[in-house]
Amino acid sequence: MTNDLKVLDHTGDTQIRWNPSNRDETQAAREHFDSMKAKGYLAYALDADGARGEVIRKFDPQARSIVMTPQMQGG
Amino acid sequence: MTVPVTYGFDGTATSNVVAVATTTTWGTSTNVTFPTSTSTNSSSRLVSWRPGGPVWSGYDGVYWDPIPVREELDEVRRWFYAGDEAAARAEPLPPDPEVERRRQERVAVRALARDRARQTLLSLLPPTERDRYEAGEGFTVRGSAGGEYHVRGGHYVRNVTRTGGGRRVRLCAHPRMLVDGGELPTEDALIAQLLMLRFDEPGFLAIANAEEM
Repeated sequence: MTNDLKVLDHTGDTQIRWNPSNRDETQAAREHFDSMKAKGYLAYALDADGARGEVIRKFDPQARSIVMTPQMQGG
Repeated sequence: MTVPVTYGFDGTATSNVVAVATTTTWGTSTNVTFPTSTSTNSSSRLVSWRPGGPVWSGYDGVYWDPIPVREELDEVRRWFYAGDEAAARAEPLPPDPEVERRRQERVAVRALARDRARQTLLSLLPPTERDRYEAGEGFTVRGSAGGEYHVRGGHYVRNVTRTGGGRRVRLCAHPRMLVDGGELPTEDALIAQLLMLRFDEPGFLAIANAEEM
């Protein structure tokens, strides 16, 4: 099983995949997640089609799909 | 200040245009607005820069294209000091091939980014909303607290409308668009709006500027 972290950015997105049973991959994904959270990014754990999900504040290694978006602001 | 200038509309335009620029200074940055017209288009182009900082150009203040500082400043100078409007009408300034080459590279990179963002957005929409978006009609989102919203595509400013339950309200909230030296594709901004409404509607409403329609 491979899980997926997608961080929206000026390239469209940067994608990191990890197998939760692989410690190094999981750690790399966690570190990227944490670094983007430190920049104020918002994170959502989603199901396959994005219809169901939730806001997450900590990295969940079991999440199948995580999308991170830059911080929102009033326009 | 009003200065007659001439410049190529952008790397994809088929004709050059003549414009009159007005400048405004905000703090340490300078904005130059170029009302423009061609036989097929009438709009304005805004270029702003801060000494030593990034240069931005865009159309109608909505679509922004970050451009590396040096070459765009050179281009702005060429526009700005072209001077003679009559001469400008007669003989547009020749494009700089190197600037043009880099601009085309940026256009290609941005097209790829937009395509990636668009694919992600479509993957997050149910089939009916996907079809509506592809048809240029935006999409509808059911908020986590039960509200219903219509999100228009094409840009990310004042593009969300609360449609359910009484009066329609236009909302404006979007992500910070400048990310690591480049601009987020518009479709990524739509994803950010979609996800926040879908999973944190109260959070979206707390930060959005609202305007009754």
